Amino acid sequence: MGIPTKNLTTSGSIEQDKKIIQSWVNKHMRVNISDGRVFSGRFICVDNLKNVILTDAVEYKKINDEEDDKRRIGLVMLPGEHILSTWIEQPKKL
Amino acid sequence: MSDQTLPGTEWVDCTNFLSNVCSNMGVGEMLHHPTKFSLMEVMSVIEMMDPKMDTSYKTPRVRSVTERFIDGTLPSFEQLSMKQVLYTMDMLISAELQWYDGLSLPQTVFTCLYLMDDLCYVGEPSPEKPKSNIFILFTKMLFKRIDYLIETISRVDCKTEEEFVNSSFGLFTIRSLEGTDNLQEDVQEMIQHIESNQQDYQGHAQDLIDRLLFQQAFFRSREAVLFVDQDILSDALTYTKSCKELFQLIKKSHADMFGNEQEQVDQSDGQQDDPTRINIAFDHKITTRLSSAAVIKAVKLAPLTKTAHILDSFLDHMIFICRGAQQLYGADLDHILRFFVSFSKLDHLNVVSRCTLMYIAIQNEQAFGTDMKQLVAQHIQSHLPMMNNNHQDILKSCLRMDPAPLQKTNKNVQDILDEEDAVLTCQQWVDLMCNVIFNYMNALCSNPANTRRKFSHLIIEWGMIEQKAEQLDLWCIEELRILKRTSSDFTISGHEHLFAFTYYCIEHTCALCQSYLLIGFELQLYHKTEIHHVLWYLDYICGLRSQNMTKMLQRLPTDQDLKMMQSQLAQLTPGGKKKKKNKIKNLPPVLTVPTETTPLQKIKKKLIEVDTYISRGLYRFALATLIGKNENGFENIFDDGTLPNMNPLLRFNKRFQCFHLISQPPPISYDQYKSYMEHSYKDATPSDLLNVASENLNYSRQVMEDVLLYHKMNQNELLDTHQLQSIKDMIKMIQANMISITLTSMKMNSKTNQSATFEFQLCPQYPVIKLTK
Repeated sequence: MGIPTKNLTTSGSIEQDKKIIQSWVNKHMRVNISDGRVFSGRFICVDNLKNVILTDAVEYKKINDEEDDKRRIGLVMLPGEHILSTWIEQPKKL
Repeated sequence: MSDQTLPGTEWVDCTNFLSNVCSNMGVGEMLHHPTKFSLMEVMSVIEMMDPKMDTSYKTPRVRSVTERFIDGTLPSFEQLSMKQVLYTMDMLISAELQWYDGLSLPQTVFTCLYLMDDLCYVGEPSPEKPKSNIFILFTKMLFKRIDYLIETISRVDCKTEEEFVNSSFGLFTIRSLEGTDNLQEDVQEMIQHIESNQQDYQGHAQDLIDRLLFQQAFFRSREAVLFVDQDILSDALTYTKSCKELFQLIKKSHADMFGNEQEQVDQSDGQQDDPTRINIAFDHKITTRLSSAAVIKAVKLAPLTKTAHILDSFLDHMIFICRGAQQLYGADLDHILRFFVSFSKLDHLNVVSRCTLMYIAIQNEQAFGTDMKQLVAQHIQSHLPMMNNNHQDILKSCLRMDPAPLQKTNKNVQDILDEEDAVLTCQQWVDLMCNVIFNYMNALCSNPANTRRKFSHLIIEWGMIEQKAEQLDLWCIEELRILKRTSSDFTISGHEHLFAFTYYCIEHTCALCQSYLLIGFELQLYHKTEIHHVLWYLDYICGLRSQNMTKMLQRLPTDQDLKMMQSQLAQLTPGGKKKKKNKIKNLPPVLTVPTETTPLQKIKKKLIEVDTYISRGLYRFALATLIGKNENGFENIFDDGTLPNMNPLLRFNKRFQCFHLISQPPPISYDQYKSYMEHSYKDATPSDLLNVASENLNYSRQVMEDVLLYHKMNQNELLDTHQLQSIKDMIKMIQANMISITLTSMKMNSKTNQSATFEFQLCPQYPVIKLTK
């Protein structure tokens, strides 16, 4: 996919980690789901089952190696059980 | 896919991080914005991987129109056969009808691939492309008509969002409407061209002409509705009739051409690569490619053979509206409201017909060209013969019909209202009534469930209007010189006419309450254990209405009446003994005298009587079946295992909630109802109740037969079609109930464990009650 891979690690304190997730609200998030589609939108909510809600979401569906079909959907909920990976837009650390 | 992030940011994989945190969260715990996350938003969310909500889920990719053109699976419009062209036109008509039924434009009209991207797949008009030229003209009229329709419907407020979707989701552009000024000339030219070059159209020249003429007539009728006035309505009627005739020709030619192929068309839907199939121009799945904030589900469209009935009904409704509306300009309020009620009872009404009537009827706060205030004033004048001079004066002053100041006869006015306040109050009263009548018309143009909901609001509004009416009546009392006609024998004091305005309002409130309850039967809203509550309340409302109407249809005694009464009194007191003032022995105080009622008023009174006796009879019948079931009498008759959590008090008060927000008619609480029941029916046996039920139903049937006879004697002008049908249905319902009463009496003796069922097949307004196992 060619995007930078940087993994986020836990801080050791669950409350601290929850605050980190809370700080992601309205930030850009990308989610890959099990049928190969990718959703990109602003993060709104997550629950204990890892269900994620994104707003202003765009759906990308692969046509071939070079091309994606793009469709603007809006407010979506991605079921936790179908989420393969999630990426959050973070400031670059110098 | 765009991997771009904002400058200075990067993508960070948080998969494991998120999984760890979520696994440590409590059940139902969520992490979200502290304030900007509400239940409303959660309920609006589209769930992915759910087949009902996710249009992309497990569906093969739908190719774009451009891709199909490039790879040749979608031929150019000129390459289509004549049959394909005609099928496309017919399918567009069918698609438009399904839009009327509640689907959106992208799901219907814009599933036509040749309409994508502003007809660029059809191209510009050109002499070398005869088929394309015809199609462009056809679609121009279609788009213009869609535009007019959206304009009409958006100006009235009698639809719900689910009923009609007027958004085109960006597919409808201004370019589509360019060059529509000379459509009529263009159509004439095109028809002449087709007729001169019939050989180019492979024997289908007449089919093309019919479709163009149909589209033109349909477009012109819609245009006439948009710019409506009394004169243009006759044009609308002419074009609509023309539409109807042309549509019969189109249906016939469609059946002849495609009748045998319809099955093949249905099966070929998935074969996108076959350019010879007749429905090549349509792909309902193209909708899923649309970018939209709302889910637009692909819906397979029905062909014209299956949707033709929608257009037939719609054109009939339009003819009904245009014909009726022409006669309503200058008509009185009774006729106008009767027309609305008749319209609301037509079969297969859709949102477009209903909005069209509302649009035509109400323009600039006028109903069919007459100011609503004037209509209301005329209505009051004609329905309240009992108004005294003060009522007349105040009405005229507030409507500025008579600028002369109110004639005060008694200078010692108590300060309930002073004169200016009275006029202002009357103006407010009339304004409120105008508003509520507009809302009533709006309610009748809504779907039945919405009508009922709007009626409940109107009942409360009438309650407020009635309070204003009481204020006005009290003012009139203070101003009124008690009508004293002295003779050597007696004095008359008139009281009934003091509350003219109040009675007027009570009549309308009761009529609305009655309609509200009856709609519940038509919608089958009531649980079987509460139907007898509703019947009782209906009996109560109808009884009050009947009494109120009797009071309304009274007038002040004239001098001639007084002389007659005087002579009658003289006959009662042969000794010529003088009576004390205000005391008339053997003759009740003569308050008012019955007025001559018009035939319409007589029929109205009779129909209220019918409703009273039917509901009375059915209530007793229902009660008999319930008492028979329980040996404990009234104790457990409200107990029903299917509704364990709703106690009868809550259920009763909830059912009649809107009636408790008004003072007239006086609302009845559950305790009052129960105490009435216990008082009136404590010792009643089922057979007593069944006998009384039978008598009441029999009497109502006799009254209905009198009504039908009276209608016939008046040249069949008193009742409209739906009222006649309604009476016939009610007679059948009564006959069925009479048989059921007889059977029930026999079953009651055997004490079997049976319960009552309520069936509405014979008459939607009242049930047939049967005792079944």
